Amino acid sequence: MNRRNFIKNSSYLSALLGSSMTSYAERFQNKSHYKHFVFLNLFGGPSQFETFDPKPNTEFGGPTKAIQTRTKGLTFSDSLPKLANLSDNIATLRMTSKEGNHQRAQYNLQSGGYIPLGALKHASITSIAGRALHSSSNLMPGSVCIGKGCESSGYLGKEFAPLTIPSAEDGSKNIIAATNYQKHINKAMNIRDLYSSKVSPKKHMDQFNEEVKLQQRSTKFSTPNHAKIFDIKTESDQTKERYGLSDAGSSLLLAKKLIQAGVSAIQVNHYNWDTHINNFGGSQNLCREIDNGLAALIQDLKAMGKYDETLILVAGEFGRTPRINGNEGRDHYAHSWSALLCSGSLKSSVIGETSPDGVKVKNGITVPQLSYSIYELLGANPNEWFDTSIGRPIKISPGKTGIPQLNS
Amino acid sequence: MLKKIFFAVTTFALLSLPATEASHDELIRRLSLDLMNRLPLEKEYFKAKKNLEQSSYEKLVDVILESKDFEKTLADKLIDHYKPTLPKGFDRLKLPLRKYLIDNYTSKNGDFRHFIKDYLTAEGIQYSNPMTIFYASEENAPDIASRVSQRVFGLPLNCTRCHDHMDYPELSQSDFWNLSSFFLLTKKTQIDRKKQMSQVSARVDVLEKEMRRELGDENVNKIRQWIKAEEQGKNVYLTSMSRDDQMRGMSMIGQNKSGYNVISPQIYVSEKSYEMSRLRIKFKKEDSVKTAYAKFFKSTVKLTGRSKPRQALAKWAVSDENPYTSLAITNWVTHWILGQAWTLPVSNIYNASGPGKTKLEAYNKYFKETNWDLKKLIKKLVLSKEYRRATSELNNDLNFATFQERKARHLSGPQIMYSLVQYDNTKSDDKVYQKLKEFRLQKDIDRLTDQIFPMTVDDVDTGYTGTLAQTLFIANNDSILNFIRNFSHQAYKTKTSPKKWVNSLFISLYTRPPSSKEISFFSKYLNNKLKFEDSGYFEVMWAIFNSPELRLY
Repeated sequence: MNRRNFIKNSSYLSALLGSSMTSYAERFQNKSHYKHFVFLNLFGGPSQFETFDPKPNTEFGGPTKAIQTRTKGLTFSDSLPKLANLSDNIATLRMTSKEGNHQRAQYNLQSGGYIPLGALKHASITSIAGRALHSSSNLMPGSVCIGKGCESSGYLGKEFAPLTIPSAEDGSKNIIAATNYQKHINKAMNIRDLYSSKVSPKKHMDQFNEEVKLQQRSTKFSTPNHAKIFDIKTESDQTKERYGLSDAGSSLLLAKKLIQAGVSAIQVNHYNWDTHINNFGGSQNLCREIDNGLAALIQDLKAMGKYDETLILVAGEFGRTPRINGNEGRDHYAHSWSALLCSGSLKSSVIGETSPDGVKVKNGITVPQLSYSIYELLGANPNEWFDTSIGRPIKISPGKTGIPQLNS
Repeated sequence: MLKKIFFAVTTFALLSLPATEASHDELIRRLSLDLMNRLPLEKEYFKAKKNLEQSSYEKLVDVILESKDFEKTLADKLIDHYKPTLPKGFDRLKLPLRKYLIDNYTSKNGDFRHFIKDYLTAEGIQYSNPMTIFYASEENAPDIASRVSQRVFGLPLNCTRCHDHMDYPELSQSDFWNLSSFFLLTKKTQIDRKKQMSQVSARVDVLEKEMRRELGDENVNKIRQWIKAEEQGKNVYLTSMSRDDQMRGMSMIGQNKSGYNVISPQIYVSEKSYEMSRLRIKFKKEDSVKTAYAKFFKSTVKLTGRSKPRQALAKWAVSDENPYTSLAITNWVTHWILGQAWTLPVSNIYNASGPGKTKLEAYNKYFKETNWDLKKLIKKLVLSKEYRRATSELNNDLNFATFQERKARHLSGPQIMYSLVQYDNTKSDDKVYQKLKEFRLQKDIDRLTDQIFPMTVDDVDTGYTGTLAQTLFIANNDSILNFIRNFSHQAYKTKTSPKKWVNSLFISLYTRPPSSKEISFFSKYLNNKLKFEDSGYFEVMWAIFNSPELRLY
C-alpha cells in the first residue's frame, strides 16, 4: 500500500466511523496565543522604494523621502509617519520571489508560496488561518474576505471558504434582507423550518439535514445585530475619520469590527498599487490610506487588549523596479520587495538586507518561508499533509523552514 | 481482531445493499440539471413524464440530447474542462467562445478528435479563429503544458514540473519539460496587423448604426480612433472607459451580431515555423533533412522539416499510438454525468485501477468504436444503471466511491441562475434588445455565480456541500428577493388557487408534485382575499425556495 492509497483508505474508514464535529483548533488543541489574523493584501505590487524600503539620494531612489522609524536603522517612506511611529512591534521583511506576473504572483502570495496548478486549487493563507483559529462554538465565520480577488479555501473544501464581502461599504448586504422584506422573511423562516423538520419527506436524508443545519446557522446569523457588525455606517464620524475616508480605511475599520465580534481571519484587499505611471504621486496617496487605516487598527487593537493576540501581514505580490521608466513609474520586480508582520507579541526587527541601491537582496525571505512562519505562529502545523479531494496529498506550506530571526 | 471483523462485516453489509432505481421524477430532475444545467419548466416536466410513461427513458434522453440547452451545457463543460488555468484574460471572452463551440462542435454529432486538434493547434486572430481564446490568458509554455497534460492526456505530469513523480517514477521531470517545449514557440500578441484591422473596421461599418444607438456616439468615435491607432501600429487605447469596460462594450456588440468578438482588442496566437535550435527537445539530424524527435512520456513525436510542433503534437494526441486522450475524455465526461469519475483525480487516468479501470476501459472502447462521438458516450452513460440509481438517503462515501450508491448532489451556482432566468418574462420584439438582454443575463449569471460559489475546485465542482455565504445569499439577496416577490405577486394577481399554485411551485422547484400533506401545510398560510402583503404568497414561495430540497438533486 503506497502513501496515497493509505490516505485514501483512511479517509473511507473515517467516513464509515463518522467524522468529528469539532473544529481544527479544538481537535489539534491549538496552543498558540494568537486568536486573530489580518492580511492586508496590496494588489498590484507596491513599490518598496516608496513604502518600507526607501533609498533617497541614490541612483534609483527617486524623489521619495525617508523618515526614521522607532527601530534603529529602519526607515519608511515619509508618507507612512504613523506606521513609522509604531515600528516597535513590526518585523520588516526583505522578500524575494520569482513571479513577476500579477495573477501568478498573487496566487503565489495568497497560497503561501505555491504556483497555480491545473487540477488543484491551493488553500489561501487566510482560509488556513481561519481553520486553525476558529472554534466550532463561534457563530461568526472562521474567515472573511473584504474586497474582490481573494483566493479561496481550495483543497480544504467549502467548509473553510471565507465569507466574501465585495466592498466594506456594502458589508451588510446579503447578511440581512432589505428592511421592506425583513418582516416577511421572519415569518417565512418559521414556515420553512417547520416544513423542513416536520413535513418534508426528505427530512431523513443526510445531506438534507446538513443543509438544514447550515440554514439554521444562517437564520441565527441574519439578525440586525450581525448586520451591525458588518455595517461600518454605524461607526461614528470621528472613528471613520481616524481610519481615513478611503477604501483601505473603510476595509480596515470593518476588519476591526469583525475582530471585535470574534472573526478569526480577515483578508483586506487594497488595490491600485500597479504604478507603471505616476509611481510617486500614486504611491504617496495609497500610502496615506494604509498609514491611517493600519495605524488606527493597531491603536484600537491595543485599546481592546487584542494586539498581542493578533498577527497582521502587510504584503503585495511583488515589488517594483529600481529603474524609473519614462512615465515616472516603476515596473514589476520580484527579486526584491518588502512585507510587514505586525503584532503586540512581535519585537521590532529587519530581516534580510537590501543593497544600498535597492537592486539586490541578501538573505531575502521567500513566500514559502513567510507562510511557514505565519502558520507556526498561528498554531497551524505547516508540515501537515492534507489529503485533498483529488487524492494528492498537499503540504499546508511549501516551505521547509520558517523565518529563524522572527522574534516573539 | 474484533475491530477487523466489525469493519469487514460492516463493509460487506453496506456493499450488499440492493440498489433501487430512481423514480421518474428523480430522473427528470437529474437529466435536466445534468444535461441542460437547469431545472425543467412545468410544461417540460409533464411532457417528460408522459414520455416516460408512454414511451421509454431512452426516448426522453434523445429529446434532451437534441435540445439547444444541451448544446449550451456541453459548450460550458468543454470550456470548464479545457480552459486555461489562469482565468484572467480568458473569462471576458467566454461568451463568444461558447457561441463558437455551439455553432461548430456541440450542435453537431461528430468526431471529437476535430475539437482536440483545433484546440491544440489554434492559431491566428480570435476574430477568425475563436479557438485561440483558449490561449488568451497569462499562461506561459510550462503552464500550457501542465494544462494539456492533465486535461487532454489525463496524465499527472504537472507534478513532474519540479521533480520526477513520487508515485510513478517512470513519469520523469524531462517528460514535463519535453511536453512544454511544444508550446515554446507559441506567441500571443495583441493584434497590430493592418489586414486584420481592416476586417475589424469593415465589421464596425456594418454595425455602426446599432453601436451608436447602444454605446453612444462618443464611444463609437473613440472606437474608431482606436482602430485607426491600431492600423498605424500604435497600440494605444484612447477611451476614457477602462480597458476592461471597453472590451466588455465591444464584446457585447460582437457577441450579438456574429457570435464572436468583433472589435475588442484581439488576441493573436501564432506559432513560428519550426526552428530546431530553439526547441529544447532531444533531436538528431537525419542526413540533410532536419528531423527532431520530441521524446515525451514513452512516445516519440516526430517533427520533420518545417512542421510546427503543436500540429505534430495534435496529430499524435488523436492517433492510435496515444492511448491517453480518449481515456481522459471518457473519464471527465463520466465525472460530469455520474458526479464521480471512474478513476480519481479526474485528470489522472494513469491512476486507474480495479473495477473503475475496467469500466473506464469498457466505455473508452465504446467511445473509440463510435468514432469519438461525444454525444453517444454521454447517452451511454446516462442510460447506465449507475446513472439511473435512486439517490441514497444516507451519505456513505465508501459506497459512493465504489459506484454502489448515488450521493445527492448540490445544485451549482449556474444551475440555480439558469433556472431562475427562465422565468424572466420581459417581452420585447426588438431582436437586438433581446440579444443584449441575453448577454447581460449571462454576464449577471457569471457575476452572481461568483458571489454564491466564490470557489471552484475542479474535482469537487459537482458540489456536495454548501457554504454560509451561499445560504445567506439565497435567503437575503435583493435580486433573489425581488424575483420571489414578482413571481409570487403574479400568482396572487391572477388569483391562482392556493392548491394549484403550491402544486406548480413544487413541480417548478422540486420537480415533483407535492403530497396532500404538503399541500395542506402550505395552503393554510395562503389567502388571496387579503392584500398581497398579508396574503402569505411571498412567505410560502420563500420557504419553498429556501428549503434544502431546492438545492439537492
